[in-house]
Amino acid sequence: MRIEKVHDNLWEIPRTGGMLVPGRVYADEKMLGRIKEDKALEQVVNVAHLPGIQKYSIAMPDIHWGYGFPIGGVAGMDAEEGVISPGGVGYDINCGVRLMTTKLSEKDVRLRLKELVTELYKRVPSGAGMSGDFKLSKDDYREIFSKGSRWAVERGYGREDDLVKTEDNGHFPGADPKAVSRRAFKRGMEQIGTLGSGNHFVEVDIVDKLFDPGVAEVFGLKPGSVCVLIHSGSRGFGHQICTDYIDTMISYMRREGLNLPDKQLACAHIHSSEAKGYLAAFSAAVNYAWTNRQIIMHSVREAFYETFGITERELGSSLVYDVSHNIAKFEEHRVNGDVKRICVHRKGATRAFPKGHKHIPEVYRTVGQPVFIPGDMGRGSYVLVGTEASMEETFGTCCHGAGRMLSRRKALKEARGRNIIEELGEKGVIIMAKGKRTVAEEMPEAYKDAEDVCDVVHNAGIARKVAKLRPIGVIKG
Amino acid sequence: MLELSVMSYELLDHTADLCIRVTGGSFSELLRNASLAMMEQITDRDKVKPSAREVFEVAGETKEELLVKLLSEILYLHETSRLVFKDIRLDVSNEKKAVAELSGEVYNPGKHELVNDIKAVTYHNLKIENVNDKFTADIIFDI
Repeated sequence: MRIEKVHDNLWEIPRTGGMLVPGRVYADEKMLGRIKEDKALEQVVNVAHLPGIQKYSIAMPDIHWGYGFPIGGVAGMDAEEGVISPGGVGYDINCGVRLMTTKLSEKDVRLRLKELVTELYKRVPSGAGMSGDFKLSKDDYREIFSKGSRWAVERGYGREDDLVKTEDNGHFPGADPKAVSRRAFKRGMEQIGTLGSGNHFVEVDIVDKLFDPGVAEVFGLKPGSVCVLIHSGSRGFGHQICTDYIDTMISYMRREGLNLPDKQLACAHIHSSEAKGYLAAFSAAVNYAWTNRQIIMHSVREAFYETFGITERELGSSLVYDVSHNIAKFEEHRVNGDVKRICVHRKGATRAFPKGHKHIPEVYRTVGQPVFIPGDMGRGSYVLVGTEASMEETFGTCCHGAGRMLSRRKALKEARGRNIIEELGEKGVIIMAKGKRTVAEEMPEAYKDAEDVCDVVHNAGIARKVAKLRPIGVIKG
Repeated sequence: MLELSVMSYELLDHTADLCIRVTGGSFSELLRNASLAMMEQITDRDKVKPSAREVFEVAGETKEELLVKLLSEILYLHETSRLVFKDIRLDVSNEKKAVAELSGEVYNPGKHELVNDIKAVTYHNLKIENVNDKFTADIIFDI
C-alpha cells in the first residue's frame, strides 16, 4: 500500500481500485510504523469505498484494527446521495465520556480514597451483562429512548445544568421505540445505570497540568482539584440494535446489488426505509447512552456525599461536558467550497467543534468545545479543545483515546506473574475491578501513550491540548 | 464426557477484539465447533451443568450469515436469560437453516468465571473456506 507524507503528522493513501476518495491518517512517523503492523490501514481503504463518502476516509492517531471501520475512523457521507453504516457507528452506540469537576483537592480525598473507590464500586454496577439497581417499567424505557438525559433529570438523577453541558443537551431527536426490536428491548432492560466491562470505567483524577490556563479556566479545571471521568455507552441495547440492523443492511445491499470489500461495512442509502429504521432505533440508543452516563454521574455524586459526609454545596460538582465517540450525526460542513449536509460517522472519534460554533454550549463559545481523551490507568488522561482546522480537515473531529497497542491476549501474556493492581497501587492509583482479567487486559502497556496521540492532533492543529489529568482511583468492569 | 475430540479452534491475535479460527469436517461441524469455541470463551464448559435446555431456529441467506446468526442467538440467550452453556446439538438443512438445541445452566457467579464478555459477532473479513471438505472460518467477536 502506498502512503505519502502530507506533513509530519499527516499521511495520505492515494486512491486505488474502487476507492472513491483518498485515505488520510493522522500520525507521526513512529506511530505510523506501528499502525502498519495490523490491518487498520486496509480498513481505512475499505471505508473509502462507501457510496457518497466526501473528501477523505480519515483515521485518527489512536487508530487500530476494528471490524468494518477502523477504531479511530471518521467518514462524512453526502446526506442526499450517501449511505449510513451501522458498523461505522459501532456496536456500542453513543459510547462516550463525561468529565465532572469538584471543589475538592487531592488532600481532601487522599486519606479516604480507598473508601471512595469502594463506594463507587458499590454504587456503579460493573462487569459483564450486569443489571442495575434501577427497576424501571417498559414505559420508563420508552421515555428514556425518546427523551434521553432529560428523563434522568426529571427523576432527580441530575440537574438542568448537566443537560446544558451534554452534547445536544443529551437528547437526540427522531427516536422511535417502534423501530427497536423486542430483542434489543430485552437486552436494554435492567442495564441502565451500569458501566459494562472492557475499557469502560469511572476514574477519579487530579487536574495535574495545564497547557492552556485560559481555556482550562473556562472549562472549570483548577490545578490540583479532583475530577471524575466516566466512560460508558448504550450497553446491550446498542449492541442488539447494531446487530439487528447490520442484517437489515446486508439484505438491502443484496437487493440493490451493492458490493463492498467487507460485509461488516453493510450500509443503506440514507433515504431508504432501511436507513430510516436504523436511524430511529439508533437515536433511541444514543438517548439511552446519555441517560446511562447521567445516572452513573448521579451515583458518583452520591458516593462522594456518602464517603466524605458532605453535601453538594461542599462537593461543588459540575459537569464540564459529555462527548460521544461512537456516533453518526447530520452536520453542515464545507466540501470543495460549498456548505453541504453531511452524515459524519465517528467510530472511536470525538466531535471537536471550534469556538463560535452554534452547536456547542454558550459557556464554551468563546473558546471551543471540550474534548476528553482517556488514557490508560497509569499515565493519565487529557482535556483538549476543538479548533477551526478540524472543521476544514476532519469534519470537526479529533481522536478519542490512547488506542490499543497490544491485543488482549498479548497483554495477558505480558501481565503473567505480575500484580498489575499492586503495581498501580505503588504509583498511587487505587483500582477495583470485577474481572481479574480485565485489569491485565487493560494494563497501561497495552495502550499507546495518550500524550503521543494528543500531541499528534495538537501539532496537526485539529484540537489543542488544555490540561492533563492524573488518575488516583479507577473502577472497571 | 464432552465430545472434545471434534472441537477444534485456536485463538488468533486481534488488537482490540477476539479472533477465533474454527475448523470442521463439514459445514454443520464448523457451526457446532464455532458455537462450542464461543461458549468456551464465555466460561469453562466443564463447570457448567446441562440442567437447562433451549431450542431455537436460525436462517441465513449465505453460510456466513447462518454462522453469525447462530452465534448471535447464543449470545442473546447468554445475556437475556443469563445462561452459560455446556453443549449444542445442531440440525442443519440446506446450509440456510439450522435448528439448535443448547444445554447449560443459569450463570452462577460463585461457580462460573466469565472469561470474556463477548458482546457481538462480526462479519469482518468473514469467509467460510472449504478445502477438501475441511471447513475453516476466522471469526471476530466484539468484546
